[in-house]
Amino acid sequence: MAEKASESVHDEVRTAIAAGAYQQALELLADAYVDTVYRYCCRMLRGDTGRARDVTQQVYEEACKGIVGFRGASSAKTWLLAIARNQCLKELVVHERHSDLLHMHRADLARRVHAEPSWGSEADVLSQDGLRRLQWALDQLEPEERSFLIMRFGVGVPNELSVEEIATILGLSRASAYRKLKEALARLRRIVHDDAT
Amino acid sequence: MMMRHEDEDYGEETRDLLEGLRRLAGGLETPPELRPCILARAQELLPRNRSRASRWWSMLVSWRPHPLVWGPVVAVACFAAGMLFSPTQLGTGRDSAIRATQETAHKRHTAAAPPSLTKEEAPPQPAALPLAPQDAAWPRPETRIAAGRSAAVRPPSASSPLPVEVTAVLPAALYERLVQEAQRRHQDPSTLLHEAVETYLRGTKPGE
Repeated sequence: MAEKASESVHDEVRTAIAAGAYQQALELLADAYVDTVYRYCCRMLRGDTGRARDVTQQVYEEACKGIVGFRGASSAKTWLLAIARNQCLKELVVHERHSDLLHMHRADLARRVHAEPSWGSEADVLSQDGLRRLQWALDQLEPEERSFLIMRFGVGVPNELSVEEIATILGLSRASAYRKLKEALARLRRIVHDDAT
Repeated sequence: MMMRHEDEDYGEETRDLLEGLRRLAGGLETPPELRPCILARAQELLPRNRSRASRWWSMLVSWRPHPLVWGPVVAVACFAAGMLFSPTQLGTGRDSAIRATQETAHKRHTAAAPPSLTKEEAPPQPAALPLAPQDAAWPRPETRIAAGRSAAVRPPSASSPLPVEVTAVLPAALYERLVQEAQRRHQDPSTLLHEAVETYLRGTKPGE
C-alpha cells in the first residue's frame, strides 16, 4: 500500500516536472516526504532537532536546484533521501571537525551515568527508558551504519525504504546492501546488550 | 506494524529492536513551520520558465520507461520518414543515377541507329569495319577507327541503299601515296578507296 502511494507520488512529480510545473512538483515532494526527510535528518544528527530542521531545508534547496535534471530513473523518495544522506554526512563531518571531542565524551558519560537503571532484558527496549537507550545506542554507530538503519526502519512506516532502494542510493547490489544492514543491526544489538549488562 | 520483505530475515532477537526504531521515528514531530519555509525558499530557487525544447525533451524522457508507447510511435515515424525521403523519390541515390545513365545511353543509341533496322535485317557482325564512300544526305555518325586496329561497329544491312560514312585515321605516308595515286589517275581519293574496298571484298570469300 505504501509502495503504491510512493509510486503514485513519483508519477505525479514526474508529470509535473515534465509539464514544467516545478513549484507543484516541489509541493508534492514536500507534502509526501518532509516528515520522512526530517526524521532521517534528526536521527542522523543524533536527535538535534534544530540542525535537523536546517538540514531538511538544505535538502529541499538542493532538490530545487536539481529538479530540472530529475529524470525519474529512481523514485522521487530515493532521490530525496539520497540528497538527505549526503547533506547529513556533510553536516556531521563539519560538526565533528568543529566540536570539542572531549565535551562530547563528557556528555555521553553523563548521559550514561545519570540514566535510569539498565535493561534487565530485551523486552524493555520498548519502554520509555529503553527507547532512550536505543536512541543513544543508535548514536554510537558510525554514520554510514546509522544511515542504513534509519533509512530502513527509522523514517516512519509508510515511507520506509526497501533494501533495493537503499542499494540504489548507495550504489550497491541488493545483496551487499542487505548484508551491511544486517551487520549494522547486529552492531546496534551488541551496543544495546553491552550497555544493558 | 512490522513491515517485512519476504526474503528479509533479521532474526527474532531483533524484533524488539526494529519495533523500537520504528517507535523512535513515530515519536518525532516535524515542526509545522518547516513546510511553509521550504515552499517559500523554493519559490526563490525554482526556475521560472522553461524553453519549449526542454519541455519536449522532458516529455520524451518520461516516455522512455514505456516502450509500448514509444515503440509504435518511433516505428511509424521511421516509416513515414522512409517514404518521404527515400533516395528513389528524390532522384539522388546511386540507383537512380545509374538508371539515368542507362536511359541516356539508350536514347543516344536509339538516335544513332538507322530507323529501318530490324532484327531480321541485322547482318552478322564483321570483325573489321570496311571503308565506305560518303553521302552528304545521310546524317554522319561520328565513328573514328584507329589505323591498324579493328573495331566492332554495327553497320546497316548490306541491302540497305543508305551509304555510311567512315572516317579513318591513316598514317601520313599511306595518305600521301593515296593522294599521289589519285592525282596520277585524276580521280578523287575516296573513289580510289571505294575501288580498293570493292576489290578487297571480291577477293575475299565470305566467311574468311
